[in-house]
Amino acid sequence: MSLRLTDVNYRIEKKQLLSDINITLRPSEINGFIGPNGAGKTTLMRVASGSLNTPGVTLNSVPMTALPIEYRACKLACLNQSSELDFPFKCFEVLRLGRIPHLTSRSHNERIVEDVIDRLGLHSLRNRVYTTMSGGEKQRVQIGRILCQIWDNLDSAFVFFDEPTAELDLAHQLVFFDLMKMLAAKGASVSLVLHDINLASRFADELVLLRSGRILAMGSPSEVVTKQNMMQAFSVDSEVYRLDARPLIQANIVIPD
Amino acid sequence: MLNFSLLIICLLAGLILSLSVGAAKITLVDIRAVLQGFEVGDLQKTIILDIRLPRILLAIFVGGGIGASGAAIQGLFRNPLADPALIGVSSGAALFAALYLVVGSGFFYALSGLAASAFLGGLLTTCLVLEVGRRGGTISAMLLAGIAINAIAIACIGLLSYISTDMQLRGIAFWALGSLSGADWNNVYVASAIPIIVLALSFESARLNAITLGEKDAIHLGISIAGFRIRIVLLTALAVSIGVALTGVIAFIGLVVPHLIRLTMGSMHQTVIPASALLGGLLLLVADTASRTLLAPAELPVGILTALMGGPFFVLLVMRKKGRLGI
Repeated sequence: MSLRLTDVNYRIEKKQLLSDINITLRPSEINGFIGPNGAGKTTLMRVASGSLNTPGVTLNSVPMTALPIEYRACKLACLNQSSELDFPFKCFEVLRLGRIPHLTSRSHNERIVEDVIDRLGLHSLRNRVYTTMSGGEKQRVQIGRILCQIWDNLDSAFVFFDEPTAELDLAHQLVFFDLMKMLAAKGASVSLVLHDINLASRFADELVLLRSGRILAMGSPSEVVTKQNMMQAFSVDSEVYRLDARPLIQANIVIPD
Repeated sequence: MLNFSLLIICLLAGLILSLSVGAAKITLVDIRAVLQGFEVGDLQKTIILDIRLPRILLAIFVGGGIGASGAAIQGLFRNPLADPALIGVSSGAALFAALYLVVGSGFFYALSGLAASAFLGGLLTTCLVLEVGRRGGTISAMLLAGIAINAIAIACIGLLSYISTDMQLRGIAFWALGSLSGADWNNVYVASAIPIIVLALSFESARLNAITLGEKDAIHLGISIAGFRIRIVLLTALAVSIGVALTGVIAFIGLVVPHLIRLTMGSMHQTVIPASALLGGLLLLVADTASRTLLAPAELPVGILTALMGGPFFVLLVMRKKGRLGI
């Protein structure tokens, strides 16, 4: 059970966007992708989630390109950075869209939608019209849609979120990371593109630091978030502190100089 | 609030009302007698069965086709302001109709007439838009291709109008206004393909829902974009071409009807497609009934009425319900 990228290269016309990427995404792990703007984080996520049909990506040892797109949609869910939904769907209808790939019964799908509404605390938004919501509310609904897509097969699911917390306030960011931990605990492989290095360092099991389409460093957050790596990736001079407040809160904290 | 039963009841009521009003007075008793097959006056029978009924059915089919196509095209382009005309079908049909009227039937001797050349023009132009859009790769590319090809078609119509005689010019103008006055049973048989096309469109509902999230997100929901795009465009082009060929250009129904449905019945395409077909049919029936009774025995082109009714209404809608329309 793993999603593996082997020597992946990706280019658009003359521009090399990804070079020599070797990554394995495993169940029950939270993977964080960090790096400067234009480093290829989003492209990497799109390659890994199969939407670019790149060779070198295998799902449980089967080449992704050989898997039918309907099958992939049952196993992999992916939330892109900006949502383009411009139609006045109600919140629960947007959630229901997550069940499109599945051939499960209507009642089963509706139960999943209600479960996700409960889990994400979307009750107050349930009957609201999507186009009238704030950015943060829309994001929570979209996260809910992704959960609906994989809710009944979490143990074999791969989820990808591109900057999921950009529009969320601090409280909802924490709710989100709690949720990711829950997904990982149930066996899902979680991949997050993140800008906030401290949040990434705090919540990810594995971090991948990208720069100019190459992997600069990967491993546990304490291995990746170092003064040298921050300098190399972002050209930012910073101090990295080790936080050991409680056994459960251990992280490397970056403070720019 | 609208719902399916209300739409169907209104459609039936509209049908009966439309059978009874017009230049010649027909009572409800006459209608019942004719429909039950009793002997009544030959005149009433002819008016009901050979003049009004085919015209009513044609209005319902064509309006329904335009309404459902509008809903599907708005979904495909993820733009609540899209209209079937965007894929070039109306301007292409208009161009070929103008060619037929100006260059003459000699040029199109292989075709059976104005309607057939308009139909062919609608389909050909759509295929051109589809092909240009395919090379562009994305749905927005197709949107831009549609705009460009529309502009070219309209310029060609302008050129044809410029070189045409007064009589031909009148023909072009009249056709562009839309009218159901030519309705007969043969037209209805042709138009009865439209409900089948609407049914096929409604089978695409789940995919249309997915595509409103954006192409990237739709791929992750297991939708193959390329084939889906071709199916939607060809189905709407078929439905609208048949309509345009038989009645000329009917404005605004494809734009307004899906909005009304989304406002009142929600955005899920499982509802929007069939409900837009019903409401589109109802609106064109009402507009056509008005167009042949307001100035009876003369007739107003129905395209003028739909635009006159639809335009201000749409302005009102846009100003009042901005957020809920998704614009």
